[in-house]
Amino acid sequence: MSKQIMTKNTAIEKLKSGSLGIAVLCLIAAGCNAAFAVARLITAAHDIADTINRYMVYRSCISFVISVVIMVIAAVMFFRISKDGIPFTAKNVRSVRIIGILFLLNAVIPSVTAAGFIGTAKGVGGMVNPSALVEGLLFLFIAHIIRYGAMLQQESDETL
Amino acid sequence: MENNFDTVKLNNIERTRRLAKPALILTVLFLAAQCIRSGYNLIVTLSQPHTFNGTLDSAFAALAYAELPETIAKFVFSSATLIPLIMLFRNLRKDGQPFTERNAKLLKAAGILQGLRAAVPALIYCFSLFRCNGVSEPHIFLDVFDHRTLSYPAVGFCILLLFLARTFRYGSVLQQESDETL
Repeated sequence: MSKQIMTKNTAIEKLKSGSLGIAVLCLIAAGCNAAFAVARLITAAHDIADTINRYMVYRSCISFVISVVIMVIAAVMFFRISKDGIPFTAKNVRSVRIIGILFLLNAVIPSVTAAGFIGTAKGVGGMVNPSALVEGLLFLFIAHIIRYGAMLQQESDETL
Repeated sequence: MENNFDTVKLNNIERTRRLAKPALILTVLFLAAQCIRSGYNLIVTLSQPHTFNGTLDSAFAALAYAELPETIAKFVFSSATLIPLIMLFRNLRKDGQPFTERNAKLLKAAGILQGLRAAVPALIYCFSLFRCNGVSEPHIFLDVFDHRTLSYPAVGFCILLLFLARTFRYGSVLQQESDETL
């Protein structure tokens, strides 16, 4: 029993130490994405006469903005884990689920919104981002597994 | 109360088994599609003349041929990453228990392979630059971190998979505790 507690404490310590670094990386990534979005908008948007290039610029900017939101949510979640070392909580399940939904939206919304800005629906049907779709489904699956982990965590806390 | 908890747990395990099936099929299809696409690109690159003769097409062909070692490395490590994930989904499909030591090791393996997928093509590219320019060009060291050589999404997935491996290891401790309590 004491060996198990030691293993559990070791696992918690490892999760704590890893999470803080990952939270900082997520914040840096969010900052970089935000900077890219602003730079792209400033340098490219005013110079574009061509409809297709304008569509590509708007689409990538909207995608960057959604990525920034995803990174910030992930950073908050990892900061939370770095405090107590417990990944299986209801708040984290919610965060991962929101990240999955944002990825799914990222597959469709940038192209639809960009098409709306430039006033044409041509080519929107072929512009769904399949990798964002797969990533979204993957995160929703991970959220389901973390929910099961939260149940085990609750059982463990009640036993103690 | 305990019976309710056990029922919910069993339902969760059953649901995990059901969700693992489409995940397994999607991953296998993705691996197959990657192999077919990479095989086709490789055949096209090797079959075309790869010396520059002033035309745009020959410029692209020469570039594709020069980048062949990196392209092959990217394909090998990307595909290799999918194999532990397929094994993981197969385990989940079999018993619906995500938190086992074996699954944690599979995630760690996938994370390491994804890290290699990020690093190896960048190192191959920089090594080829060193061969052409020698170490007199120190800025080549910085080219490793350029987003066109080092794949930052792959670095992100590497970190995510390694963190998930640790999480699953912690989960396996909780699972063991739960099984012993029962």
